[in-house]
Amino acid sequence: MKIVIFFLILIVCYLSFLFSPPAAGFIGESSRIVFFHVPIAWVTVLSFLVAMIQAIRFLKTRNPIYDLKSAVACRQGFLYAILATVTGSVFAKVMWQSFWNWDPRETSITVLLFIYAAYLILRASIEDPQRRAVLSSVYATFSFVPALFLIFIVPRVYFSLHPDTLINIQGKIHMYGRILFTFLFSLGGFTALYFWIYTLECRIEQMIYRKEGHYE
Amino acid sequence: MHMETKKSPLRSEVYTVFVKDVKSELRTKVAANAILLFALTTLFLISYVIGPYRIASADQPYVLSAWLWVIFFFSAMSGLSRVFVKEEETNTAIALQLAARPEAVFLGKFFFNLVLMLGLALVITPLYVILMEFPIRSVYNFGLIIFLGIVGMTTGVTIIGAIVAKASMKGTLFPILSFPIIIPLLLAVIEGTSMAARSASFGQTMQTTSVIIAFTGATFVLSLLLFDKVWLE
Amino acid sequence: MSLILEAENLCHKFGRTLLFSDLSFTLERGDVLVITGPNGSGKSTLIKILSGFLHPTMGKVCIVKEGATLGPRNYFHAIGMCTPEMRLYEELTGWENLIFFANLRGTQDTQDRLREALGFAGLEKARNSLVKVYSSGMKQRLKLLLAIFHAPPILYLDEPGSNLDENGIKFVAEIINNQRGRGISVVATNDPSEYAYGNKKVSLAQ
Repeated sequence: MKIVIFFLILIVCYLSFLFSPPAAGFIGESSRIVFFHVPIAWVTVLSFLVAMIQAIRFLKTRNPIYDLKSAVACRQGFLYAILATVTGSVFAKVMWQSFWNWDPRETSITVLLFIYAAYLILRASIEDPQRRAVLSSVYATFSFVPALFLIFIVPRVYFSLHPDTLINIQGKIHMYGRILFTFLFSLGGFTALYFWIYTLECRIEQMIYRKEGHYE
Repeated sequence: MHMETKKSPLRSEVYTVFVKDVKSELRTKVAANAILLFALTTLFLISYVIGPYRIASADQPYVLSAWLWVIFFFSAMSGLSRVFVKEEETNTAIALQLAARPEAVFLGKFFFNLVLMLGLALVITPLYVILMEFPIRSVYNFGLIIFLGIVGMTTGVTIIGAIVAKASMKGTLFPILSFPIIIPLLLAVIEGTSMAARSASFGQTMQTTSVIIAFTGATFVLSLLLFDKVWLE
Repeated sequence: MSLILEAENLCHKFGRTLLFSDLSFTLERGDVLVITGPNGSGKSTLIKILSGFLHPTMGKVCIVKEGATLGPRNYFHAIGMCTPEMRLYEELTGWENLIFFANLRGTQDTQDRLREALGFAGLEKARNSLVKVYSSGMKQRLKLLLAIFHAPPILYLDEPGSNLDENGIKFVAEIINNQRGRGISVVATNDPSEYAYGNKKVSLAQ
């Protein structure tokens, strides 16, 4: 499995740097970052959805394995959120000459970052494993509301600096040809990468849990 | 000695919890004092340090709205978790868990928090408008948005107060957990407040108002669904 | 009214310490179970598990009332509990505490019956004083009253005689006697004189 993913990512790199031409309307080669930034941002959201689904499953069944998986998704999502923020910021500097603008999409990713951070801090502040699992699952589920608002409603409603190619009011995709192909390939590649790392960490944590009887 | 009991309707349980919290609060005044004092100190600080004259008049509606909601948010953070934290810290939670339905506990305490925050808004808003010379075109629209925003804010953070009561570091944890939740509301309500201050027409604030109402509805329903898991843990 | 409390293979770990394991028993109407054991042996934990406040590491507790198993939502209405951890609202008076819980439970009784109940607990005179100024014996009596005034089928008492004088102990004895006619009692205690209450015993001594 990991060989496949390795080659997938290698192909993504080749495609984004060599295969597809730079897009119009961007400064120089900077459009290439879209092939990385957007999939990473997507994975951040995906990770949040995974965390939330596992949290709901935990609340329904009280099986600690779901809480374990939810925590793994949040820890990884946190890292992806940082990556997304950093790549976005780099792009912003090149494109609009400033690292941060508080445009709605930028705000959304920081809020996701805060949600992940708050979740992790909450977990760290509760000793009892049962209580920790229940409270963090409730928080993960509850934070779906602001996440929903920020990811879908806010950018549609408010003016955004973000390029219109995929994030626009009509919801149409304006990419063509090689760029579209590279983009979709990257999207798929990063999603596969995410699930591979996620399942790997879940398995490790479950092994530790079986052996030691507790998990973080 | 023997008494007949039949489960009381939700309405009366909610009322009982609410009245008890009000009575407790009137006797100790801890939460009200904390919230009011925090709001007043921040208000005077802002008024003194920034004042009405340092802000360009074009920016005034937005900046002044933002400061007002910052005051409300942090005042909420200093007082709205008390209603749950006190039950845990004085060990009265167990008896309450036994006697009352979780929904009744949530609703009773939610209404208590709401009364606290609306009272605060009633005191602070006029003071703020006067001290910062906030020009307001339509008092009615302005008041309505403030009201909706306060309700939304209280709905968003009450269950967080319940969560925080069961963890450690309650004081610092409350803002950390509440902030991500409340951001969409804050963005919408600050925008709405500044629009209400600038223009007199209600139609223009419709969009932000619907975001506020949607947020309030969603967090309220979700809180009701999730509360018993937090409360009975 | 048929009533059964059944504990099946209860096993509980506190961190790494095993408190008890393979604990099973069945209680029926009229039974009084006495749980004994030295401090820290898990008596209070067992009470919490039996009353539904704690999930045991393994095993389960079942309450069957008139043939129907009580689910988690109906559990708490059927029980009354008095433990040393529980506290009353100290900023309210004794009377206000009683009325508060009476309103929550939905008692049909008039104010007179409730005053009578306070008298039964020996708190008639102090009913309008804040619980803050009650002596520890008075607080204990009020806690006991709040555990029984709604006539729960199952009563959990953790160290009921603590802080009580001779009259208070008579109060406890009367409560348990009444409960024998009504349902089940579970009493956790260190005090040998309370062992006599029970017709069934569980010892958590290691």
